[in-house]
Amino acid sequence: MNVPSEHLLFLAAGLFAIGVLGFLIRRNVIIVLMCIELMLNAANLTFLAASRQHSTAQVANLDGAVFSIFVILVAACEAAVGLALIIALFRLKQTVEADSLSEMKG
Amino acid sequence: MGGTWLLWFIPLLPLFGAAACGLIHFATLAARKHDANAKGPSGLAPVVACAAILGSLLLSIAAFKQLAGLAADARVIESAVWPWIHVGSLQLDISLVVDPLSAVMLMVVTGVGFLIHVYSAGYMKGDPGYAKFFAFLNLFVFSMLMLVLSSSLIGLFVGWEGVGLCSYLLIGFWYEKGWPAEAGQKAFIFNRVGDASFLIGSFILIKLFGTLDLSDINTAVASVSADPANAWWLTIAALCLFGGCTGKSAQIPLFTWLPDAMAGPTPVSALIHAATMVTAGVYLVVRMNPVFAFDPTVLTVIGTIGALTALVGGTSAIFQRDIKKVLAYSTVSQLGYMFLGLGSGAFAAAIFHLVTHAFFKGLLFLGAGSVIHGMHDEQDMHKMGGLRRHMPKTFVTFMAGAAALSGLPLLSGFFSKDEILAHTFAHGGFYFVLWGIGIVTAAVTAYYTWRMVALTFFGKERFDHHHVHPHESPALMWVPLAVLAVLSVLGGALGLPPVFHVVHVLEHWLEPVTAPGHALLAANGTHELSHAMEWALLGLGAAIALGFAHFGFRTYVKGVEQDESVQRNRPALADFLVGAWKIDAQYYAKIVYPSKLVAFVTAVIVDQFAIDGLVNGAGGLATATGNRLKLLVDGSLKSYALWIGAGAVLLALLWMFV
Repeated sequence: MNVPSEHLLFLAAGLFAIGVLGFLIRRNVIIVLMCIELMLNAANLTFLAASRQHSTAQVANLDGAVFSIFVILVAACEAAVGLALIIALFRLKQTVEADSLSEMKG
Repeated sequence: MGGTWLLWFIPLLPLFGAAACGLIHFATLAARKHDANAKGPSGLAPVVACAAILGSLLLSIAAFKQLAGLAADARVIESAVWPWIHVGSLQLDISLVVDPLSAVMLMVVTGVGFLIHVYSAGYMKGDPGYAKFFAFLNLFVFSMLMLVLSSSLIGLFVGWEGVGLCSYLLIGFWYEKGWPAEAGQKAFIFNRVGDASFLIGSFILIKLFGTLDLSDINTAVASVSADPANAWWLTIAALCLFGGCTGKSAQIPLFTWLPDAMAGPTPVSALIHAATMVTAGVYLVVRMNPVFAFDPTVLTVIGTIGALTALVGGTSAIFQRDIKKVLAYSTVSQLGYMFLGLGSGAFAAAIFHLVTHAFFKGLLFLGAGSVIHGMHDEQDMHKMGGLRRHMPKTFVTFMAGAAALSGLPLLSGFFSKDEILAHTFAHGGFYFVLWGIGIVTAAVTAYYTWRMVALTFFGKERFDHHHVHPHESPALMWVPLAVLAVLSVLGGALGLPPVFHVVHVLEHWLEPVTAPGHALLAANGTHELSHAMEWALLGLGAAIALGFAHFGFRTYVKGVEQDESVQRNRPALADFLVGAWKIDAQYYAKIVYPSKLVAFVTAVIVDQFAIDGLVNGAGGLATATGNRLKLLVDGSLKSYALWIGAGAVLLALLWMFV
């Protein structure tokens, strides 16, 4: 049961890469939002791995866990706001395609 | 004069008058908004202006009387002090002082000034700027009074600049015509050159004396100049101050603005450019006579410049066709005489000539104005002639002025000019040369004066009878002429020569002011003439004046043939003299043209190309960069994310490898 921290970091990097890739190539804004969640969770996993790395046998380091809880909190808020925006977008344009949002072109 | 604060009212009355006339002018402009020909309240302006000057004149007479009642060595009335600038050890206060010298100037400025104001009421009638004219004229009198009354050089300088400003405003009074505005600028710029020199002189005086109070400086000259190093600086200061005088009083090399200043209305020429402002330089030298008298070199410079100016001015007047130009060059020439007198140490004689010149040249200008008025703005003497039948009053008074200017015996100009020449002669040595120049100029003066009289009032009528109907001027104009004519004829009584065995009134009166300068001069030996010599000089002066007056009159009473033959046979000479020895042309070629070239290069290459290029280039660069960069902002969510991601990767790489 002694998984090395490197494995956790590799897993986190993989999750993050999937998130970035999804963010860049998917057109549906809901999927884009989900990809952001994926990246956030990859970050959480990194925090936890680092925290675990810095724990000793006697004293557990909880800094990473605390950060993760904050991130989950922010992610929840973000999801709420993001989904609300998507609903507003859909009411406006009858679509949730990311490419339809280009009014702010310079 | 009860309290000394009353003195302040002498200059302040004209200042209030100027303000009132200014308001009247604005009211007139407001009335014209509805009706372009409305006169508005402009008729009030001459009344206000003349009343203000009359008030000054009466106060001046009162001050003069009080001064005359004091003991000779206590003749100073000082006004309340206005503390003006107090910086560190330098204290600049302004107060007004009436002493024998400023009392004489007061009488000239307010007396002649009042007559010219009255004359202007007639001359300028119907001009759209009637009220504005009187506002400027009153402002001028205020500045001139500050100049002559101020107790310190800084107050004098305020007046000095004020008269320059008013001169500029009045020369360019008819600025719509174009060339008067240019003449005004020329006068202002020439004076500016002189004023810079004046200021430098004042700075040196502050350094040497620690004060600008005129009487303090005058008393300290002897002790300060005891140190050779200080004496050297004092010489420089005196020359710098004299440089200021060459600008204001139209001496070589800065005299060429005065003939152009004739672009202004004729009363302005009479008041500013003959009687008062241009004599400010003479006044300054007499006021600070110890500063100039302590070094004979300075006096020699002043005398030489004066004599040369007298000659150049006089000869330039010979072939002028414009009656006002003749008088302008004559003024330059007569001012030269005054400086010749100063250079000979004859301060009282210079003031004497200043006073008589104010009378007769003021008279001649006003008379010329009357002629121009009667001839419907014709100034060319070749188109006049025979006017004595049409304007007898102007004719008689003009004759009186001409006789005084040419120095016909027993008239005012005869005595004052002769006194200057006698002093120059008495000086001996190099001054014999200056005296010779003075005598030649006296001959020239008599010649051009009577040429002018003959061309204007005698001979055939050369004007077009169908269009020009010469007429006598109204009483408002000829009465001042008559008063000035009487003064021109009798003014000589102020300073009869010693051979008459009577007191020289003016010299005696000015004694307290000129004594320090004379004391310094006496250190280099005194000059006395025997009575026989004086009689001889008087006789010579009279003979030259009569002879050349007759010569000039006889040559031109027939008509303009003499001018035409000179123009035909000696065109180079005529051009040289009409162009005032080509000095102005030299200024144009050597200074004005190169300045314009530099200005053009600066404007086009430095300013438009380099500086504007830099500024516009900076703006253009920002715009061009923005135009390129805005392509990045394509509105697509994905490309933004890509940029964020690329940036993050770049930062990570930097962190890892750098």
